Amino acid sequence: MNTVKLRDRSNAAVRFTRRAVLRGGALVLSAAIIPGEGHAAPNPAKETASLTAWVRIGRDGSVTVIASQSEMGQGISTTLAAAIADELYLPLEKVAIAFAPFAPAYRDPVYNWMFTGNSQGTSSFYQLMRQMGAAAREMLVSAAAARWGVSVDGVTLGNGRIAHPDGRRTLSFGAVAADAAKLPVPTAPKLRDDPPSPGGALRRWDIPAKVDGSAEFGIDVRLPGMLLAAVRRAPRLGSKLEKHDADSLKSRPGVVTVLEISDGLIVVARTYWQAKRALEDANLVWSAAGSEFSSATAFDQVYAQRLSSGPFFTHLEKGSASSAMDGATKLEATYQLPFEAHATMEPMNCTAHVADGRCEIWAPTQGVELAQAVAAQVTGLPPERIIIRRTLLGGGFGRRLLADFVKQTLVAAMAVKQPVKLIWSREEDMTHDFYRPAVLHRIAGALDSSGSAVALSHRVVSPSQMLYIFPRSMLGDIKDWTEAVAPPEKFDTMAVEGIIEQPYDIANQLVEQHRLELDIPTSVWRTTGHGPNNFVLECFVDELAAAAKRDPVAYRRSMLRSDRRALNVLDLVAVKSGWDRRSPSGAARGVALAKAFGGYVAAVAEVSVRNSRLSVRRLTMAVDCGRLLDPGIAASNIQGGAVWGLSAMQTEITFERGRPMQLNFDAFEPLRLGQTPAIEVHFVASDDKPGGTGELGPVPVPAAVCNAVYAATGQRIRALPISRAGLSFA
Amino acid sequence: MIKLNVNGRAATVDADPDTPLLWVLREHLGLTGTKYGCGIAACGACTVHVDGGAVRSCSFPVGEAKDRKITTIEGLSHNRSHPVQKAWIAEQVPQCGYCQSGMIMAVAALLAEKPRPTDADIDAAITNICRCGTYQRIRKAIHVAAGFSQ
Ligand code: FES
Ligand code: FES
Repeated sequence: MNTVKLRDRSNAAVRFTRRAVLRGGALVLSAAIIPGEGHAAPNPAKETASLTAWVRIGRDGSVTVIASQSEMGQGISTTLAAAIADELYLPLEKVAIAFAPFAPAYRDPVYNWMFTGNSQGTSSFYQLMRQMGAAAREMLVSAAAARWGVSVDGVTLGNGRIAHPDGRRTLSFGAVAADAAKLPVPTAPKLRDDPPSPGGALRRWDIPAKVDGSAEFGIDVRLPGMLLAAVRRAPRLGSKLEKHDADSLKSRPGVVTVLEISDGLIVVARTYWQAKRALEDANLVWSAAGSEFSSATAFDQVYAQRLSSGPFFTHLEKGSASSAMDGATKLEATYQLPFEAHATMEPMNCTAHVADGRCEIWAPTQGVELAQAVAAQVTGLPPERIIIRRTLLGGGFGRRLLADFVKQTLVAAMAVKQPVKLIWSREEDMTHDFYRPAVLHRIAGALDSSGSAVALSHRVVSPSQMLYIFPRSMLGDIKDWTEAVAPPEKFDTMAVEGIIEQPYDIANQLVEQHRLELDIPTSVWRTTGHGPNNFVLECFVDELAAAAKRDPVAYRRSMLRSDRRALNVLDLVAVKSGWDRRSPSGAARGVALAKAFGGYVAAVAEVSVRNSRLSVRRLTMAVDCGRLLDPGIAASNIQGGAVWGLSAMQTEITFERGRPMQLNFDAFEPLRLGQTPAIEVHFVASDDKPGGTGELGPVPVPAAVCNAVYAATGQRIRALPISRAGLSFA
Repeated sequence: MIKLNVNGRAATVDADPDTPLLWVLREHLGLTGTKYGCGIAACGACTVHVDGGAVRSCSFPVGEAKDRKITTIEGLSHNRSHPVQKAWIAEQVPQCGYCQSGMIMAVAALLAEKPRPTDADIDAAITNICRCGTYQRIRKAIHVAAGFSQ
């Protein structure tokens, strides 16, 4: 594994810290033209003018809003497009939405990198989109005013037209768009003071197409002359392909060509089934060498050994945890979480056409800039000859930040010089994921005579989650941007997030990590470090409350004096869940609190346990995600997130000598409808900066449920999945 | 050559009879609304109707579909007017949407059989996986759709 120094420590690195904020002056209004627009335009006969990089207006007055952020069900493309539409005095239904190819204008301003993830689409782009909409409006108004020879004062917008101050004459957007596009972009556009949509649930633009089968995901891309490809790589990580019978495969029906890659084979055929069948029947011999990693022994051996021997990197040191522990009442526990697969419902796939010195890629991707850079590395073409067209994503959860599947598709496309769609089977998708790493934690706390925590010390053994996603532009020269690169430990903070910024007033804190190197690829997975770390922290806080013989909510409240937002969600969840009332007979409740992704969330789970069957009857969630832009979208993210959190209590990926053992949904079973409890979501009225909701929901759920199990049975669950504790979901 | 009846229209496809109906629908007939999720009948993303009943098309050989009536999401209605589609829009059910064609087809088949399903009926019949976790809105929308159909 490479470790590199940051290219630009002073600037980029500072921006990269998780808590970095977009400083006021950093906003640059860009009038960049969208690259490749010439051949990207869906209707070349319809001339369009670009008002900034974000708004295109056709001669016929049609308005297209450009989306930087990928749509994978989190609703971001609705929220951001609505912000622009509002500033143009248009309802959302009147604008078309197009996903941007790579261009610097579409980079996330915090990381200076074009991607969708980390639940930061709203916080990074919402204000910018308002400004871009306002800029486009001012440009239209100026152009219309100039046409009429009047001052801009009194020129107004409505119904897609621009109205003269005389109240009679109007011009369509289309009539002045070309003039407007020639004007300088206003540097300080004035936002509407009466924007209509915030606070109301919008009808998501992408839903109609998702109920009639017409929504286009990556797997649905169809091009004239397109071939289909299937791939099979080593079932054991690290193994290479030693022998194969490619020649006999070539005579199989429909097979066009067979390509050898270092650890597998790609078959290109007329149809996907022909490619897949040929591969299934192929005689592939794998090298004897490969990963020896086995999860059955990993925790007892590899992880436990590092937990005692280190070395450790200190991520947080506040006061002195070790001296505060001396002589105090001390509690210590070890927690562990397993590897997890993303298992997006749409398996990895990509379509590409590389010919005549041009490269076109159709991809369901969260990582546009990485895919673009990788395409340049693979094809050797200059960036302006490469265009990435994004489709909708059938789930992302962090997996689609990576470009391994894009690279693989390009290899096939370059070989056949025809458009190729490469589709991974579910088994391939599960075998060659970049997993949420398994982690081992030792957490210790010291209590004063009143039972309050005065010290918390936390030792984590975890592989990095950032090996494949750390913005490549900040790193030194790397030939292949799909390879793992370990960022400096100081910036490799995802493994400890949620515990380096936890909300409790605890005077002495220590957070150390041993960054474990494994030959299992690991990366970010919905909730990043927040999910696993909150499970550890909030179960342990419950242990402290029990040791102090205090009510779990009251105990948390007593340690939250300085964090108003944390108190608000905790109080709200207590009220809404009826915490102070007795649980229904046979049931018990547990609580957990999280500060994550720019927001706060608290959950109360009501469970019953009978014959080792754990039934979650009800989940009550209270959320402060800052100013609520869209209650419908936010609630669906939190509810879906809660399901993700519950799923993660029963799924895991295990390895036997480098082979992932759960290869499909028969062995890796996410929660199903019948297991899903009623999930109530309540929002705290908040004027804070809008935060993300995509990953917030799952964070406190496992701890709340496990704390409820303790309340019901006295059994502490310190390892997931719950099958380790002999439980399963009813 | 296999003769099929898909969404009320006759179609002839040149495919090996062992080919799963899913891939024939998607690639030979261009009906990409039906999705691939697992290929082993475990997720339901590929659900279509064969003679009105819900079938997981990834595990249903096209040879067996001969002379039977196949309906896919594209053929469920014109203009999203089927009660289940209307309820799905009203309740804003989909997130990423990838599982939803299969969900809608499974629910449409359930309602055809049981116009007023109870929660227990729904739990038993709707075993499709939604990785985005839209289940709560799905349950609500099923009841809404049942109301529309009355
Ligand atoms: S793809 Fe057919 S059930 Fe999953
Ligand atoms: S909506 Fe994404 S899988 Fe169901």
